[in-house]
Amino acid sequence: MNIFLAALIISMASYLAIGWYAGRKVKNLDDYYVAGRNAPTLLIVGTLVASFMSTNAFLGEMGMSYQGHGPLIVIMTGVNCLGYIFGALFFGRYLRRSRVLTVPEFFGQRFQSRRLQSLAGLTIVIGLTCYLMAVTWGVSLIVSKVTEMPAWASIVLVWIGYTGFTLYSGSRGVILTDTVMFLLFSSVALVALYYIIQSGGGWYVSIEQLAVFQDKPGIISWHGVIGEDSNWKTSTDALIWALILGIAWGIVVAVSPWQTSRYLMAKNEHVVIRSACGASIAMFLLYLINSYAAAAVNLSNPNIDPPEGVMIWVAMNLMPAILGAMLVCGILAAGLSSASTFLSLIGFSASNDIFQRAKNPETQLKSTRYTIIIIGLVVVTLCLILPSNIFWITYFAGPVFASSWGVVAFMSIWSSRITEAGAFWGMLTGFLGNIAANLLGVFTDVKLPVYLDPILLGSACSFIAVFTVSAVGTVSVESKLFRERLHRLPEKDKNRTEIARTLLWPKAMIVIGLVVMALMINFYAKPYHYALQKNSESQSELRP
Amino acid sequence: MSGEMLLAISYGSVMILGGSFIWWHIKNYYDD
Repeated sequence: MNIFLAALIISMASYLAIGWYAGRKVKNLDDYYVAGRNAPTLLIVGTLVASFMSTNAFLGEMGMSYQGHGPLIVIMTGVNCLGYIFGALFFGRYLRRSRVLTVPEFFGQRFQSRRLQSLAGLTIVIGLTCYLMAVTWGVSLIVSKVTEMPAWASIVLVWIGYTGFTLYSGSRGVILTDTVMFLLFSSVALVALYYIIQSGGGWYVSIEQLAVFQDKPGIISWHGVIGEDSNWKTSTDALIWALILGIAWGIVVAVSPWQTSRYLMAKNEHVVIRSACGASIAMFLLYLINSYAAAAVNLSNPNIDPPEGVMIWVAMNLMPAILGAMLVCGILAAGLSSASTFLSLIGFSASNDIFQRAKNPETQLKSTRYTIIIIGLVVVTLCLILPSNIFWITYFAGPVFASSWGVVAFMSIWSSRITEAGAFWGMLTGFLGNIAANLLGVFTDVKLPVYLDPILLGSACSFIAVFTVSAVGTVSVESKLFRERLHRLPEKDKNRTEIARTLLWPKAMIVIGLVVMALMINFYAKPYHYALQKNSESQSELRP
Repeated sequence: MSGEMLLAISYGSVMILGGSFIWWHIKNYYDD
């Protein structure tokens, strides 16, 4: 048995053990759906980041950084991070006040509308099933690469893994395993950075060499690789792309179900705000480390093909076997944590939002578990029979919620004029607008400009529908009262000690911002320019 | 100022501005 397979089995067994431990504490629906509404900050931070960062972050985005677009990922992340802050302050904490079991149930209660709840549930089932398939394929691809298992066996193993610890324990297990996985992939990312930089000859040597790297010119300049052979012809094109995608993904983290549903599990409102700060800090640091680490791999091997396999190559070639195995486990953890969150959310939505909830809580608990099994079987069957190269389905899977839910979510809190029909049609048109724009890009030669990104186009459709439909309708008294209740600050959240503890988090953000700024100036911007200067001087000396 | 210097400053500023906004908001919303 190779060391990667052994590490994989040990990590899977650990997650199952954690799931079993957490599952023993599941006594009622609140425990299963929202972890008893008693989770502390660390667990909410862990589950927020682990759910967001899937295999895409460690394969797709690191592959992009390796190809020379890391700085764009960094710019995008800078904007994206703000989504946590605005999401928690302007949607998440109000969502928590509603004390619902799922986010679609919130929409249902806010607008006294069963059809809206079912529609929101349906968007989760469709969108997250596609996303779950993509993650299952992504994780099983790594498993089959490092263990040399056949593709079908890897898919089944991965599916058994995440279904095992999700099914029995529900959200209680998912937030625990997510946090363990978050700690694992964050720490191995740091260790990997050390080995990558060492193999490149140390920090300053790496920066100097990357600054004048001939194979991918401009790889760590502020705009990354640009030009005729790149996706971006000019630095302005690249900057606009990064800013718009940053805004779009900021909306995703602010309103998407696999992020905001985590706030329903928070112990109190202060935990919501603290964990949003924590998630923002974690993403801010992790993406910075990962982007520059992936770029620096070029100094050891500039020809990794496909580029998405860059971190797997690092694990197998640059690190000692045991640490390499841990890095692979970390990357798998990123995928498994997202998969478990998606599977649980699909199960919850199908059994609670699309179908009527059973009156008896025990029956509902049982039916949710059966639903998760059925959905899991559907997903694994689709993964086995469909070709795994149909990655286009993932184009819309994640961001579709920004288009479909974004406008309705924020207006459900901040608008007194949005009606039930406005919310329903807004959600539907946002969903369809996003999918139509994505399909246009996949099946035709039409290439939309970056400012017409499907996320933003779908959001615009949603806003127009909400605005026009609400203008001709009236808001029901129940909806009005429900919204007013959401704006009542719970007395226990006025506690001075809690406020003082919460204030530590924004202070930490400010300090981290200052430290990162100083580090980036002294360890990136200055040595980068010193290297360019040195290079141009040596070039002019060579000239006759 | 070079683009790289601007990237360093603006990336750090995201956390500084975000943190300042949350701090101001908590002070005004919960601490009144």
